[in-house]
Amino acid sequence: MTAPRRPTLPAVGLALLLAVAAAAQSLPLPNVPGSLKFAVIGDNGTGDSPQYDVGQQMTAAHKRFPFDLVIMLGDNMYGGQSPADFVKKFEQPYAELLTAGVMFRASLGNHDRPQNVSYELFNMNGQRYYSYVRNNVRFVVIDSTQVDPAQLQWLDTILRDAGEDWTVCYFHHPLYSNAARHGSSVNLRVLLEPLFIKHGVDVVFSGHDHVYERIKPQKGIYYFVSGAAGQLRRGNTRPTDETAAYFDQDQTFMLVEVAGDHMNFAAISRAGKAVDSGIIRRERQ
Amino acid sequence: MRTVPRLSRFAAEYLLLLPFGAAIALVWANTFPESYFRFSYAAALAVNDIAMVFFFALMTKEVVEATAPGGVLHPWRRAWLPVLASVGVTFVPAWLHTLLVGPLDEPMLAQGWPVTFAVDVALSYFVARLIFGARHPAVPFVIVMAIASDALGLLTLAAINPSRPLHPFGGIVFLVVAMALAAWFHRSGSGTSGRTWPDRARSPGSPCTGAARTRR
Repeated sequence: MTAPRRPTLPAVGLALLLAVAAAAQSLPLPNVPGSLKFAVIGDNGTGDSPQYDVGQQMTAAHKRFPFDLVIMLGDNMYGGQSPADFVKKFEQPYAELLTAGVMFRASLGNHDRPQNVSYELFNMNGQRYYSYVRNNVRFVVIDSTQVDPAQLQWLDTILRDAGEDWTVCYFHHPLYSNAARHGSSVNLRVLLEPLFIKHGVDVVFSGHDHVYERIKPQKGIYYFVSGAAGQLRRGNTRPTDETAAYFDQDQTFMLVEVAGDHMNFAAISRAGKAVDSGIIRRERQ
Repeated sequence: MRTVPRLSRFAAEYLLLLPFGAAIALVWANTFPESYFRFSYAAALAVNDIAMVFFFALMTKEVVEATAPGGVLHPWRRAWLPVLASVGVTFVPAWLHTLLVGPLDEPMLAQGWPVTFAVDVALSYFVARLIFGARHPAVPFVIVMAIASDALGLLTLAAINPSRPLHPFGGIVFLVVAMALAAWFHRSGSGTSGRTWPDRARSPGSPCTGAARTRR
């Protein structure tokens, strides 16, 4: 009779590593068939290795969480914006997603050339601001770099006429942010927030600050800053009472799932770890 | 008891309301930005479209006086000098702007190059008076140069980035009427009546009269 073998130290280490890796790879989302699943990236277009790493994590996530839409929060391209740059800073990092038929729908940031509205894979159809519907969600894409009376009038009309269960707005400059570099775009907030409140917008995604931050609901609206899918300002967040959660130690992107009256979200780091997650219940009828 | 009127006269003479207002706005915008922007958007019509009319009336008075016979910008040859100078005033910042948006990686701002044509007339007026004194010839020179730069900027914006449909016919009619009025004033001034066109400009009912009174 032999005594039971005690696990060796390397074996324990390996098991722990696998457990941590497995935990890191599990997505805190219900992953319900038929739900709307989408990813969120902002300030991504650097063409550097962190952007490629995030692209790989998105591809890995897509295999388990088959989203077919990626919303882009602006600064989709930094620096040069030649055809070769579009390959290096967009088509290559997300090559597998594009091949899988995932649709990217962009908003413009201050680093994007206005002409990029015509880049086919951004699906903006030549418009600075536009709207579309997926499942029970109305997406409203705003050009926050140039908010003119014509756009505000359009926004008022499109939000008023939105009959879907959810209204999600996304654009580059955050109405609420506690990052030190830029912070809240208060001048924009004064213009946009009254319309959001008036027409019952549910969730707003923005970038511009290169961190992840979830803001506590402001006047009934949920705000996310997700501007670190390529760029990163490590340690730049100065959390306040408005901050519900934040992460500024690594690049991040978001995964979102909308099913009925529930919206689940998760912020995923470049290492594939969920650094924040939660659920939003639709309150307006 | 006479301190307050004396102070207000001093403030009016040195245009102290401008830096005082700018300081208040700066502090306000950085301490309570939401209320500041709410106020500034709400006051945009009153300030940009109404109050500025009175301000430009004051500027017009300066220009009219400077281009009148005996004025520092009379005859027209002299008046053209600041207008031509405004080409340099606009060209150099626009050139710098287009040069810098690339290295600063702000391509979205590239289309805003005509904005660099804008010269703050009020601030220019204030600074020129501060440096040279209220009666110095440089003051109307600076004003004409600033107004001409702004006019170039407006024309450029209208031509390349109109926010609304253009109405060139209406604009041309307005310009022709304005030029005809100016020519009429000018001819009246060169007649034997002794009334120069600036005199007519100052006559009751003239748009310049109100502005002149506000200054006195």
